[in-house]
Amino acid sequence: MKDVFKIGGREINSRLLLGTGKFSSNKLIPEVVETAGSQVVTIALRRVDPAYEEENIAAYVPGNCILMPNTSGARNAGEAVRIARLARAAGCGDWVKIEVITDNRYLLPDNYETVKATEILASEGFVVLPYMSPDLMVAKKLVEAGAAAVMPLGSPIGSNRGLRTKELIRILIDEIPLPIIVDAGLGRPSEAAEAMEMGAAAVLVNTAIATASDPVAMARAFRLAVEAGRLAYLAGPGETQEFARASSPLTGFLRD
Amino acid sequence: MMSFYNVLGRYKNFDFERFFEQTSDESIQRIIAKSRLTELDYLNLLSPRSEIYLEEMAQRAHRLTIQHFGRVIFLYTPLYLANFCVNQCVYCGFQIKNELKRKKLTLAEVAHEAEIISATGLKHILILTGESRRESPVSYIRECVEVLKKYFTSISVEVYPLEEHEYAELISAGVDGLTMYQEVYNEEEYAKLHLAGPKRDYRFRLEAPERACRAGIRTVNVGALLGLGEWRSESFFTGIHADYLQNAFPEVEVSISPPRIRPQVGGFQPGFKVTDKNLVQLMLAFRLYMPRGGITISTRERADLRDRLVKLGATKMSAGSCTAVGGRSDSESAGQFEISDERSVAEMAGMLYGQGYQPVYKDWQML
Amino acid sequence: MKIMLNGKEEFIEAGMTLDVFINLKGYNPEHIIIVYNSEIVSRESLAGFKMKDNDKIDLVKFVGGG
Ligand code: SF4
Repeated sequence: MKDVFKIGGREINSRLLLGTGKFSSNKLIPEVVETAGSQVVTIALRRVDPAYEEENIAAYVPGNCILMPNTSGARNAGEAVRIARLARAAGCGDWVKIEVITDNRYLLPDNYETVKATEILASEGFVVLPYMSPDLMVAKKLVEAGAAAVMPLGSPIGSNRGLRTKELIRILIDEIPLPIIVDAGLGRPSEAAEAMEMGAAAVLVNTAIATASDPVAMARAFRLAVEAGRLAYLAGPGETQEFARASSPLTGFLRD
Repeated sequence: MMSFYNVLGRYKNFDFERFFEQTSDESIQRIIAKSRLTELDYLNLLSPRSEIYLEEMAQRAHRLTIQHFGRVIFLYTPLYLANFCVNQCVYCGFQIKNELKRKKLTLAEVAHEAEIISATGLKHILILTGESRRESPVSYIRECVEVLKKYFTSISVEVYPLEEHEYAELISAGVDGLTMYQEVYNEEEYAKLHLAGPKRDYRFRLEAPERACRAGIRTVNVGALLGLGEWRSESFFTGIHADYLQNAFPEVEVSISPPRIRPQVGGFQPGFKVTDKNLVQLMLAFRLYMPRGGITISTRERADLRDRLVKLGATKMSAGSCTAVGGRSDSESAGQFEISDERSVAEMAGMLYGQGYQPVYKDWQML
Repeated sequence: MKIMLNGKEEFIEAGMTLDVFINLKGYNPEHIIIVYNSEIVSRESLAGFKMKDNDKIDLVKFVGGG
């Protein structure tokens, strides 16, 4: 049976989503994307800085990829909506990762504003992937608001601390009828594999690859880890369970 | 929010036989060990093949029940307010075609019955009527609730399906629970068994629990009358109905009942057999599927079986039941069906203590 | 006249068109997105686009991000 991964009705051939921030040189990006096998690649929108000429990142992303702008920099729903509309108007397609952060100490997302932005953008036809702190009630509201996937954090952005929110993410995987994509915090391939084994639909990795000594090799390691984790999930690992007959049977009285 | 009617629609042409043929021992064993079951995992556990794993399911169900509910069984009792009914449900003693003394309790009689019941220590009551908007309208039910409020801390209703605002009216009068059996989820069977009256409206009944939840009810209890339809698929629909409600209304306490059809005036013969073993399988499968879902067992079941079900996932049981209107003070009148466990509340409590369980008369009270 | 460029005040010659302004600032319109009073301005319409007093211009572009 084919293992199909769909977001917003579109089939995606890789469960490793890739961020393009923090690379030592944008020139690395084409090879990293290709090695990672990623099809969904995130980018950001910024005001130009007259002090130095930045390159156009989109030019470094292979043409067959889906460019997914994030709304980083937004501090409330209104700003996130504005950034998303600008990105679409600038020819970026319909996909958007909502990221609303008001907390500068831990960089944790503002779930409340995220729900509001999701609702507005989904109604405007965007394929909305909200980044959030794993919370079941918020995830349910995101489903109602029309999100295409839910992206809980494994640990704070850029912290490389791994899957600290595991139990909460497991609940989202069990209860939410949308792809759960673990975003932020995954520092090692083994952590990505763990998320995939649990049943996450995909992971989004940026810092761990961008800041590795050899980003291309690390991209390959993540790719393999994501595939291995997915395979393990599909294979249905045997659970540890006492299958011995209990000393006092509860159903011994049943005859028919 | 999608209605449960649409959810059920997904299974309209589902081939249950074929699905059951494809179940395997490995998958059943794996499902029994899983921490969160999917809809189809649940169906796997309802399969004939799963019968050989009943003991494994029982051990796990027992542990899960203790983990989530403790060693307690909530006790309640039904109070029939009126047996006027305009419907023709072929399996029911109160249906319009049956000759019986029709009666509805006056408010004074309601108070009298309430006194008799509350003397047993019970604080939870389930009130029932047949469907007659003329003889037992919402206003009458509300007046009864106002009387009963003085005696009980929790009042559930098992009456004909209402509109959302009517549920809201009863809730503000003091009702906190709804029991609504779909009787049979299979829509064609439903049409054959409900020959006349407003109850022929399948969808209005099916969506009643949703309306009550929207109106702010605290607990809902759904179920199929076992014996009216094929029990495996009916149990499946009951389970996914409970799951739907729990998802759509996370704040509501959801439970199921697996009532097996009982002999009643009119002598209807159920079309499908449901054995004790079947009943147990359904309870265990549901417990594994919804570890926090309640399971209510009525006095339709025999005392010896009910004693066993305490450790097989049950969370709530009726006691000291009577299915006739005013039957506690007047033993002449005919009941809706015959009960099988005639024990008093005190005897039930004794049985529970004997098994190491605590009977709970009062679960909660609105402050 | 006064305009706001990326949130900062600038004083420019009255009636200047957008293409001239972008050029003056040294940007290549192919590489940036021009947002004028919250609306995107297409590259084709830059030439005839007259700026007015107190207008807001944001020049944005795509950069790396996660
Ligand atoms: S089951 Fe209810 S609605 Fe049907 S005849 Fe009996 S009392 Fe009336």
